[in-house]
Amino acid sequence: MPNDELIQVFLEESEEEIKELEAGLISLEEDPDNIDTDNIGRIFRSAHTIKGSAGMVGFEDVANFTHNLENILDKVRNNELKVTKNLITSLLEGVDFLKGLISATINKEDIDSAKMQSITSRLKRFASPLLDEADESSTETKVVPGGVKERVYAISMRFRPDIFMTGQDPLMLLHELYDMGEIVEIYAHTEGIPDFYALEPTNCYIWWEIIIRTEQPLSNLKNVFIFVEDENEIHIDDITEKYTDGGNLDLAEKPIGEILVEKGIIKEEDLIEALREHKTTGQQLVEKGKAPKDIVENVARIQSRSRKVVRSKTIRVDTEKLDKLVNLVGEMVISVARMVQFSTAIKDPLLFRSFETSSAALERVSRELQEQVMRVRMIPVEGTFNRFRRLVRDLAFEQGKKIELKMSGTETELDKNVVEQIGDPLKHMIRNSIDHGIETPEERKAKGKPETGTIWLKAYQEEGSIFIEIADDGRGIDKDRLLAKAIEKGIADASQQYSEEDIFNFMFAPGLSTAEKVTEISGRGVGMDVVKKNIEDLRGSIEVISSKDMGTVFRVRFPLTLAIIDSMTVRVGKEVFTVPLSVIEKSLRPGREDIKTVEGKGELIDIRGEYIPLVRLYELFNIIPEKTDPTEAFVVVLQGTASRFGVLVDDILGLSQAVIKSIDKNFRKIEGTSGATILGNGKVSLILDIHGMERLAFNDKRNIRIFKGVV
Amino acid sequence: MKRYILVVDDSPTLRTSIDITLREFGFETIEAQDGKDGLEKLKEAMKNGQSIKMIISDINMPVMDGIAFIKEVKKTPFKYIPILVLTTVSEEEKKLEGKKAGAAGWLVKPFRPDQLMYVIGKFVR
Repeated sequence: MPNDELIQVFLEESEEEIKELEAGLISLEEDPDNIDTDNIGRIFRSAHTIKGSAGMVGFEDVANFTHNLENILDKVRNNELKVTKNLITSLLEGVDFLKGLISATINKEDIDSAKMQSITSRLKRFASPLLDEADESSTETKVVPGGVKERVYAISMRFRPDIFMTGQDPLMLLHELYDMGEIVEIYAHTEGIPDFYALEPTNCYIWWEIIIRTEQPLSNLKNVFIFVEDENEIHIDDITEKYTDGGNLDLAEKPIGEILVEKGIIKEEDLIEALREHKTTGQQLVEKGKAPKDIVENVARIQSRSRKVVRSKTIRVDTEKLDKLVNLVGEMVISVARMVQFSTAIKDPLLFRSFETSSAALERVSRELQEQVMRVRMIPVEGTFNRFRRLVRDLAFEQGKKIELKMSGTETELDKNVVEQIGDPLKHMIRNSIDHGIETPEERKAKGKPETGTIWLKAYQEEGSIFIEIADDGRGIDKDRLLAKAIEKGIADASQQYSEEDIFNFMFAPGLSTAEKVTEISGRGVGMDVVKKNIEDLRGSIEVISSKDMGTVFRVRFPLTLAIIDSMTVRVGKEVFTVPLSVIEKSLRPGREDIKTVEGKGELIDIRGEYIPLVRLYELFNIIPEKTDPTEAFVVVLQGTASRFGVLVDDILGLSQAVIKSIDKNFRKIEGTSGATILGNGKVSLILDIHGMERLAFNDKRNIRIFKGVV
Repeated sequence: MKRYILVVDDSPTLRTSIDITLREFGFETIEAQDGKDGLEKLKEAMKNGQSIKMIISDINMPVMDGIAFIKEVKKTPFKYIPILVLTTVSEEEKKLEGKKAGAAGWLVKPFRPDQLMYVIGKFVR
């Protein structure tokens, strides 16, 4: 007997439902020709609920009796039965009886079986005029097989990748099978698991083969898979006759086909046939006409040869060892340069000539060695790129946008440090493209663009630099809004005229966001300024190109190598500084007429008609110079991401290669420098950091001599 | 950690009887009276940090029926929670509809506690 709490709940519920039932039936009677579908639905559900609840509390008589009511109401609901006064009367009579039946059952009183019988048969006549008394309760007959004998089944279970979405879990099926008998053998096929970056954690990539010995009939085994059999590949074969005892450990090493042949489960011919049917991706592509056969075969041959080579030639090396090697090679390059300097001391011309020849060879070899060592540190950007597939997919879905992510140049290699650290800035830019760039499908359609937006992620090498581009075909950057925002935030000056490039660069100013609506993704306090800083920390630079409704391109540029740079050495007073060649546009000695001073703003120099700010290095770093008159000294013109300016130095010493040594690791960060290097004479020289210098020179209010913008 | 099962049924008797069985087997029940309520309860449970292991839902309910409810659940992060639908003998076609919508299993009413626990055991251990 169910417990009292449950009976009490049932009693209250059934009283409620019966009231509904009665009220509904009466209003049905009032207007029998005009059936209110809501009303009839409600009545039906009441009967349905009472039946179900009665079944749950174990009141079978109540459930069975209510079934008759439900059955009729179902027919009325489906317009299979016409509502007549007689029908309603019978139904109401049934409801009255139901009330008594429930209270009798709860109070354990006797039931008026005769009355129940008569009302039941009357109701049944309504439901099926032919008095077809089909008894539904007999449909579920369970025949237990007599002679219980163990049988062996081979089960293969291949699931659709998104099986977890249906709430199914292969593990549970395995548990269930485990409960049903003895699992003699089980193989999990893991070859479908992709590499880490392509892995969707919610997908099922594994499939299983199981041999189970059980006393259960086949139907019970099949029942395990009843909810997964339609959309997944489940095969159960009775292999009792063919199966001999298993459990042989050395079978695990053999291919399944061979094992099955040995066990006599399949014939050798079957295996050969099956193997012939087993197609490689290449074969499948050829058959589908997607690729020409000879090319596929050729590629496959080269691939297998390459794999052999790669396999035998790859070793793992600790990155620390690599860094040490890079450092040592750097030192060697410097030593070679020093040695070459000494050659001028050789007086004997013959000796000098032969020294020069061999030192040139040494220089060449050391240079090549350095390049090769650098290349060891390089890894492809592919892994980092692949992570964004999921990001784009999820964000697009979240925002109801259609976006395709296209990648190219994923094999492009970059220094390991850079590849590891560009993930975040790239992610931010991609998010930007999704949030603010790509429009909704409706918006795109209205603009005559394809509904699906595209984001391109490209990597390529050009002129000693590596470029990474994040491009989209979205709405582009709204220049007016960006400028207005920059003015509002006090970054730009309303009275100034700005070039397109200048305006785009405001995007990288701290504390600027053009997003009007803060989405779940943006508005996390990480702006483009942080992106820019991250990239500059990796010695890279960033630029933006954008056009209304055409899209936006973020182009990030990194130097090929990180540890060694081509550089120019300059002198100010007694200090020698190293300037990366990549930022030097030119160097010159200006004439008197090229120098202009603008009141309250600073010094400018005229470079072929364009005035650029002049930065006196000695002022920036507080050193005593040899020369303060620009016409006697040199000006090195630097081209930064945001601006172009000249740096005043005493002298230019020459070109060299600098091995960058970090200062902040050993000392602290020095603003305006990106590290130090050791010169040919063994002295230390600071490497100038153009971005740091820009900040020092133009953002520092004390430096009123230097100004920002164009005259 | 407590294991919760969401029971969505317009019948209090059904809910109570499932609750009694579940409690006996160490589960906590969260009850909802229709699909709409069920969605609310899912969100609430997430806010409260309650881990719902399974959803048991009736098909025929007012406001939002079981099929619509399953379809809605499948649009949310709760889509991986196995859903068991309760049907009656006469609702064979509903069973298929539920399966199509993404139900993981079904149970025909009326059922005994051991039948209920057997089916739950297919999805939650």
